Amino acid sequence: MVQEEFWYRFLAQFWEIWAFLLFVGIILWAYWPGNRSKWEHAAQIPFEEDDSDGR
Amino acid sequence: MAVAAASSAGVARERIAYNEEVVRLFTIATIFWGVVGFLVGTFIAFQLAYPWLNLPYEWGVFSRLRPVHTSAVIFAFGGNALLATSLYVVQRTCRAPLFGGPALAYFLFWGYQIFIVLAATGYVMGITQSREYAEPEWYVDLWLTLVWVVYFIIFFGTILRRREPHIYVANWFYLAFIITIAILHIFNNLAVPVSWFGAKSYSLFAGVQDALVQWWYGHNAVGFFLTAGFLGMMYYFVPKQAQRPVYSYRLSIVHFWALIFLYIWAGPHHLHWTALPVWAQILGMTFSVMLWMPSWGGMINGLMTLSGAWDKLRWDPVLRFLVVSVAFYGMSTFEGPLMSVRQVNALSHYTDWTVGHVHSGALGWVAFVTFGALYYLVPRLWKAERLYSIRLVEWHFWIASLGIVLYITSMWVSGIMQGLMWRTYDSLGFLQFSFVETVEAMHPFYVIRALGGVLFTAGALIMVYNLWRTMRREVRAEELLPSQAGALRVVPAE
Repeated sequence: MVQEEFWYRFLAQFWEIWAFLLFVGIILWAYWPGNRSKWEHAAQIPFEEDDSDGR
Repeated sequence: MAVAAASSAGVARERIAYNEEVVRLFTIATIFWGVVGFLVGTFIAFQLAYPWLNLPYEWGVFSRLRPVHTSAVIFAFGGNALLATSLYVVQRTCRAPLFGGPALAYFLFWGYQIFIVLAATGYVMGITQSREYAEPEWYVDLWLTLVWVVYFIIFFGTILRRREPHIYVANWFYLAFIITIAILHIFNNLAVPVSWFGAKSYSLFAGVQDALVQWWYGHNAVGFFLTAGFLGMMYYFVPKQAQRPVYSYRLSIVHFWALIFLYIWAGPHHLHWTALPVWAQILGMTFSVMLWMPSWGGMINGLMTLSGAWDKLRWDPVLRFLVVSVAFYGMSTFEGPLMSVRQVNALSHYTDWTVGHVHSGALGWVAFVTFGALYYLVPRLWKAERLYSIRLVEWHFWIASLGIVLYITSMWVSGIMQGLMWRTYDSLGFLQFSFVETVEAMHPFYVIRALGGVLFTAGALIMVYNLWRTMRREVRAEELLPSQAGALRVVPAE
């Protein structure tokens, strides 16, 4: 219990670094070449509905 | 409930029963409360210029009417616009009807309107917590909490039932807005009522902690209500009106997470040079300056969506509203971090510069993107052929733009002059000007500001007329450019 609390406190003081690494990970994920086609599909979502709907 | 058809990438046609009735109700509420908010705002602007307009009743003075204006434009006009568009966008981009059915949606609509009426009537009777943008007392806060949880259930339930595997970026912004506003609202309004049947309560916090909680709330109401929510609007309506996908979907992901990581820390910049510890002030300032990144990421993404289609700005006034709103978003979120720098804030704080800054965001960004969305939505929701009049949209655009220019420039001059007069010393080290001398010097700018408000309100009234005729499916006989006649038709030619 004491040991766990030590590690929690020790790691928590570097929270800016963990948040920064998480953000860098998000950028890598967004710009990863393999994800390109996924984002190209996502950008088209508003246009997949039929504009003449309901009439 | 309107039954609408949706096609999956043009392959399999399936009919999805979108709930458009509740979107129509929220649209009408947006228009109604917008006019109320603009009229009250213009009236209190004249009260500042001509103090005799403070009516000889306690409910008729500036201090009671000011929260009516701010709540009416932010929570009634802006809030109903966010509710209308979020419920429209989430259904379309998830290809799923609203979770919870019509009953829950009607509760959300009427529950939110009751919140607005309870809040506004309380203000004029003097019932207030005196927390800026969180004035409603404890019983109204509890009611709004219930309504907001229902909103979350409807919105998130619809996302869970989506037929489109990916959650479109607009929905991320709307969801961040809904969740964060719930947290902010609950913590900032933690209070102890004095009695069970009395309106009065006292905050759970005291002293500088109370101030910090209030501005953690206050700034993130700007960040997540007036920014994240309306960015959700931008990411749907700008691509739809321009008929082009967003410039960079990858940038929209980075834009979203940069905003989420940074905004929540910016609140302390409202408490520069106060009892708040200096390290906390500098923290707030640093995160505010870093907000330039998501600010410009979002602006570039919105503006560059028009890349290759800039000519549409010449003849499509609806798109012009949307694009100019993004430009104002970039401008006011450039100005904000600048004003959060402690040395700049020493001059700008408590002056009209702040008021001008808020209105460049509120009139230029929030209201203009909402007007664009309303002009997009109303012909579609009421199944009209097109807007009643394109010319009247042009008139609205130019009158409102002129009003904003008058408002912002007069407040810049007035605010900087006021700040400089407050800090001017004479040769003996005494203050050069008395307070009343600064008020006298600001009078002409108060008149110009009020005239700006008149123009902005006049533009909104033109919109009301145009949208009302559109709802009646009427089309004004007017000469349109060939490109306008084709592209601004909402119903595709059979």
